[in-house]
Amino acid sequence: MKEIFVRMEHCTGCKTCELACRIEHSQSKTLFGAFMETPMPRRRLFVEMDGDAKIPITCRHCEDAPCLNACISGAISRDLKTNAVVSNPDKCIGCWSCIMACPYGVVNRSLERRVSVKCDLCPGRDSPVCVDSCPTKALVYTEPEEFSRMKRQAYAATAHQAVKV
Amino acid sequence: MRYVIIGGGAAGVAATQALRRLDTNCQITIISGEDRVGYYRPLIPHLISDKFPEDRFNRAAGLLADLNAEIVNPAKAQSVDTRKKIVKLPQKDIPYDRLLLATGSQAIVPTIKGLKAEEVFTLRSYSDGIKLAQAAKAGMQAVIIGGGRVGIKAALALCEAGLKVTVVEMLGHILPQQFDAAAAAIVTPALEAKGIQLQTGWQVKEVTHRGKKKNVILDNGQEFPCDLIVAAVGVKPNLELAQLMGVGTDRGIIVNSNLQTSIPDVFAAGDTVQLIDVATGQSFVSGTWTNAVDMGNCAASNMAGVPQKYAGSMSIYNAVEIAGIPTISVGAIHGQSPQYEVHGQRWDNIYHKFVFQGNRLVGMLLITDIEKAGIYKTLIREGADVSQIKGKIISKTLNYATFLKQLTPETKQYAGV
Repeated sequence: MKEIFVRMEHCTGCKTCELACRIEHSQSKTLFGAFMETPMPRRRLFVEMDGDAKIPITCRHCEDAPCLNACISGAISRDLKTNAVVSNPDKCIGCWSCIMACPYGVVNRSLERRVSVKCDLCPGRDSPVCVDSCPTKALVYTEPEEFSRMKRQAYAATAHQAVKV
Repeated sequence: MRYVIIGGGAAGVAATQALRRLDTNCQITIISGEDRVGYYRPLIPHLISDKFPEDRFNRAAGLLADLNAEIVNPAKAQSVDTRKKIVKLPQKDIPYDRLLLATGSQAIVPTIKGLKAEEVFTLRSYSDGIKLAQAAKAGMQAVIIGGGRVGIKAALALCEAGLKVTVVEMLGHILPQQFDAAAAAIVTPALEAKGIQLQTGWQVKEVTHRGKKKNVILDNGQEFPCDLIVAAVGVKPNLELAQLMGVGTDRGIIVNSNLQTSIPDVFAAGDTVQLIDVATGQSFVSGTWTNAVDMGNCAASNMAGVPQKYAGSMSIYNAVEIAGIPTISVGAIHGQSPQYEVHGQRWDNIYHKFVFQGNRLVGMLLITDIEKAGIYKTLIREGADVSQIKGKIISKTLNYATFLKQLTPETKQYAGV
């Protein structure tokens, strides 16, 4: 199953991913249109800052998802095709138990609709829009084995520089 | 392998799902005393207000059928022969290899002079909800005894349905366990703005009757005539079966960290279980949906031979929006003893309160701004040493990047930074 991986060292903190996420989850699907809409489309991933560090924090779609376990209305369930943990706004009653549960702090709120909003891995697309929009390719959508392979090859390419004979 | 689960609530259904994931060929039997199994109990107040349709209450269509679980309901286990490993029902005997006690809890009906048990409504089960929804008519007056979670939700639901509601809470403010006075002071005006009357600090002394009208009299002499009385004074765990079986109980069923009871092959999960509050070290009997689901998952794992330690929980562990105001309350939120260090900030409707004990965060109370609450909750639950990030917690500016950027020299090199 594909997942979103983050290459922290590539992130410049531009937040294009957050913007793309909002536009994708809007009605108008345009930059200016999205920000004029009610309800305001909310981001589902967060480029968090701590000092100099800029790190995109994405939903992990946890195997044993705390948000899914905490949901008291059955709004949060797993999409069996993509393995994504998704929240259904029609069933959500806005109790915010999922926000209380998520250890990563990646569940957002629609203030107007009073429902929770979270990453759905962009079901209408081949790959999530945040990944596609990142200008530095800090976000990668691939299988764990493939990401691991990428990392190994990248390191191996530089390793010879560190070796002093 | 034959698993039998007594109880079809949050813990019982979670356990069924987990067992089926771990063991595709096993036999699972759920015995439930209710005529409706596997529904979302916390949605019951919506039967009164929003009139949610049936399918919103039921678990994902066909869930239990898909799990290939045998459901025996409504049925009450009379006893369990723990040597022969047989659950005895009036209609038949059900043998088991591993048994889960998930019998839940029941609403307490207070003993008050003049109050007749049959005229009191409680809001515990689906049928309770239907009964109250049918009796509650717009324009009626209702008195709710108890201003805790269920009392306030019932008040909002009845108010939505057009009734005039008075809530009587014996302690100084509503939600006395989940909130402190400052938090209650933010939420109270929002409730009163909806027309809900709150009488705090007084108990109901007596109920008299005048024809079909009831008269609720407080111990300060005030009288509240009404058509409906709802009791929301708490729940007590259903322990009779456990006690009959000889399972070790105190205020709840005593379990080890694998949710095993004192009797081999008998496990327990949900509202009946006595746990240790990781924030305060005190024992408590849980009463939340989330804890029941977590315990159901954990017990099932242990029953299926995959040992898993229960991660623990807090007796205060609640998220609820009251009259448009989001609130999240976790752990030791009062912080009134000298071992606690309390940091509270309030401006407008926003309230942040963090309670520390030594190096640990032990309590958090958030009103209106609940963003990223889960990060703080995790620190409380894990008993983490937060001395390095205390400032960020107090200012509520913590985010997950703080944990990820703690790179070791080795990982720094690997990450190319």
